[in-house]
Amino acid sequence: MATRGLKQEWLARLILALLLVAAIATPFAVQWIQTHDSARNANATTIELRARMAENGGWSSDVINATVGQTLHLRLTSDDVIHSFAVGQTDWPALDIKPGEVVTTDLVFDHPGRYTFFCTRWCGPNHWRMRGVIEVAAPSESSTATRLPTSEPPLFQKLGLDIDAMPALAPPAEQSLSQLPGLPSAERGAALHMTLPPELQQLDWLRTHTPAEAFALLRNDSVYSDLRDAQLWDVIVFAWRVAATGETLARGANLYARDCAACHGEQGRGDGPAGRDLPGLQTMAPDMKRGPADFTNLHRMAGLSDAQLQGKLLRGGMGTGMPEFGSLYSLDDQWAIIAFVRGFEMDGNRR
Amino acid sequence: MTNSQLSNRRLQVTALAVLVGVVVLFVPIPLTLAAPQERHLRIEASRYQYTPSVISVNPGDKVTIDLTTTDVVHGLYVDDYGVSTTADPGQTSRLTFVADKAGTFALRCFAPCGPLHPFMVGKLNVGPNWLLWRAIGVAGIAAFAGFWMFRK
Amino acid sequence: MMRQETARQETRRYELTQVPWLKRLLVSRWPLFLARAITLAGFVLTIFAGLIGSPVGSHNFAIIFVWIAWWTFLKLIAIPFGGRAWCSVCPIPAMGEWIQQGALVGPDGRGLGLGRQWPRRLRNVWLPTGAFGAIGLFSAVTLTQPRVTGWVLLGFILLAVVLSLVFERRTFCRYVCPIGGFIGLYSRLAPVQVRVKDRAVCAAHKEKTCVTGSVLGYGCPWQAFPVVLTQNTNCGLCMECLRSCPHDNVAVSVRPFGADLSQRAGRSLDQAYFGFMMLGSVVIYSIVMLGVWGYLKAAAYNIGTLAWFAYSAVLLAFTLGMLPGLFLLAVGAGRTLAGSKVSLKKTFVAQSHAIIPLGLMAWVAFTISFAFAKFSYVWSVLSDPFGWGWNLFGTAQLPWTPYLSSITPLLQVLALLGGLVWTSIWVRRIAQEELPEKLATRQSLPVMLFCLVFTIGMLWLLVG
Repeated sequence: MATRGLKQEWLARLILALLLVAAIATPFAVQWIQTHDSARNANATTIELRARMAENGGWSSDVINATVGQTLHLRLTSDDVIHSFAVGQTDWPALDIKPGEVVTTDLVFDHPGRYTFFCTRWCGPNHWRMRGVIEVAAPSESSTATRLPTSEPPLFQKLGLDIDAMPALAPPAEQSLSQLPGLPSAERGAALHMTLPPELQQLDWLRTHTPAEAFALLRNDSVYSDLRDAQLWDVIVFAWRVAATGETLARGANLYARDCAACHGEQGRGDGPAGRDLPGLQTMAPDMKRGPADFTNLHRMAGLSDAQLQGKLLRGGMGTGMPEFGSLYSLDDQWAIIAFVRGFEMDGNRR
Repeated sequence: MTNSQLSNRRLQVTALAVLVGVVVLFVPIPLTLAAPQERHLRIEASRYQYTPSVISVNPGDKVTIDLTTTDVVHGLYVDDYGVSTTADPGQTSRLTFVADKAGTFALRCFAPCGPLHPFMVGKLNVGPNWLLWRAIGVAGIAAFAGFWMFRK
Repeated sequence: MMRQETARQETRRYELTQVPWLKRLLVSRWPLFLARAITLAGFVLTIFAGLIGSPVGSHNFAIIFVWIAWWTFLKLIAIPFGGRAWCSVCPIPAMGEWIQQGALVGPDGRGLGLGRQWPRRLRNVWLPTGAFGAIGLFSAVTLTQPRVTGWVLLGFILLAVVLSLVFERRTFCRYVCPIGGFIGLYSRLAPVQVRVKDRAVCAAHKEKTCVTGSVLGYGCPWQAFPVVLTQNTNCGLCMECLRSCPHDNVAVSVRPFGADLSQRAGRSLDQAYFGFMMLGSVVIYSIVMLGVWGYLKAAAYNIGTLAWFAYSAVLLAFTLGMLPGLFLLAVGAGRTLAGSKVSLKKTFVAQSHAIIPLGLMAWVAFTISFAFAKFSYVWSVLSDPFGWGWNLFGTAQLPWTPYLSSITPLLQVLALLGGLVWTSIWVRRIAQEELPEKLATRQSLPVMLFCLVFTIGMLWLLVG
């Protein structure tokens, strides 16, 4: 009886020990198998990146190192809310990261340089701070891989424009705007069937001049002397609208919804939920309205050129709360957003 | 009353009470309600509630909900109807459905929006909450039957 | 009248242990050992998942299995049908008990432990009542943060081990564990019991090995006296008395629900108060967690803020002050109506036990609110318990789907109404212990009104 009891006791202890060891060791064993399984080739570097709201720490790594041609295998997970992973200056689509789930992706870089990765699902008031850098090194000294094409200095720098200047409109333009019954409409402008002056047909001119300057141009041109001020504005916004293709506007709309609407509002009025606590231009001029810019404010938008808008987009803030987007957007992205944003000062973006 | 007569009577009262209770709880009430209309509602989601937290419509209404959010990505799922949508800050998303099922349904957030996400809930009333009134009715009947049974 | 009833109840019990293979199953030490070994391994895994797994609750084994799967099983199946059955397989005291006994499957080990007696003053459920209240204060954080759940569970098992090393037997389970507190309270309603068959046999048995232990079995780890055991409250269904009794005088039987409510012994003020803590907590939880008011949830979550202190004060005041106070008023009014000479305290304690079914069914209804709606998380969490991207059984990506949402409100209504009727019957029966029928009815009326108001309140909160 005693021997049998002892045998049973040791069997019981063995079973207990096995179960406890299994409980403790299995997670690590399985995790090891999983992470080594998913790195498909020996040439890949596996990096685990945890996404968290900026308040909870942001990305778990701010800097990732990679080499041209080598696969960067990323295991992405979120610790709190929905995030996403996108790399600026590339065509790779953004990857949604759901909390508690792991999503993997393989990235291969063709050009060395510094890439910015960022979150594209708005995850809190400091969402825009969720950015990091991927430093991609050339594989060797004699590599033929060319560096990321360094962007030319943007227009506002080339032209020496002050993007922080508070636009002052010439009195005729200012007055005509004050008398407008509502926002000008590109549709009405199109319906007037006026031939646009050569300047307003050139993208370069449109990008470097303000709508107010266009107003002065048209007002002093005898061809348009029959038109009232309001109709001139319709023609002007029509000129800006027509310079952008449907594809550009669609791209701009998507980028705006994804990155801008949370602060600037769905209707561009600067009333987005994430912008409520931001100082906006009040930091620069105390008499300005607090908060993100209101793109429906014609008095302001008419005095800004696309180049100046681009400057603000690229450089961001100076304490206003506007992030910089220079590291995120390609040139096409930038003009697309600006073309779309211009739509707010006309009926163009109304749904 | 003798013991057996008493327990007989109690059995009768119990049986009657149960019958009445079942009727009150389950039998459909044919009531003509307001004609179905189209309703357009705005719901703002935040951490961790919906504003307004309770919405009421009539059975048969065509309901359109514009969901916005004030802080992070939230979802809206309507219990029993199974329809849902998600909204990102700065983007309004729209959910349309016909409220053909009467009753009270929970609105649940299914996009994890933070620690208290499992408790984020709202309410949709389609028609009056008949189940609640019936249940309260049955509770009253049970109390009355109990009292009646033992009043002697 | 009473003795007749008892006799009637006696005959309505079916002895399970008269079935030979059932008896062998219950007497053998292996089924319970294996069950405990598995739950302990699961518990270790749970703590791990809580401490190092994903911080996202819906993808963490700890949160889903403890607060949804296990809680649902406990409230809807284990307690109503098995009483303290969970306690017989609970992993928390297992380690400590094995160390105490010095063996896993035999009554002949040499164990460790000081075997001290628990202080007399604490031999009640006041401590568990306070512990349950404390859980309520921190529940919003515990239920949603895997780390916190992990640490709480780890703390519990360490506490149980320490207590097992210092004090005798299942002191932790009987006098400290808050879960054990309410399991014990509601186990009076369960349809299963372990009792001696014939007291005369016990009277003739000098050694009382059911208490002292023998080569066949340990003395009752729950410090109960099987000879005089009349209540399920402190019987952990461990079957030791079955093993140690040399006269085969202990039986496991099935019986009608709620049979222990007629037992007067074991009714005490501390048990009554635990009942109110449970009753009050289910109301507060229904408002804060299941309600539509986000600021209440934030108040419960943000520990240390003024709002949280307000929430804590309200919770404690309601469960320990207002609710028992209202009940006292109802009992007092009933006493006056009936002209009862029985002391207020005795009536209060007795009637407080009559509302045990009300509490159980209220918790059943509350559990139903989220049990089926959230159950689908179990499948994805089984495939990926740590939220690390595994897919062990292929179910990791299964989307969340609520189950039975169309009949959930009806189930809740039936549970709450059932609780009301059940409790009302017992309010009257217990009143009849001291008073003739007509006066008993009078005494019962205000108490039944209390139960009716409570039920309507719960109906409005859960189904409204």
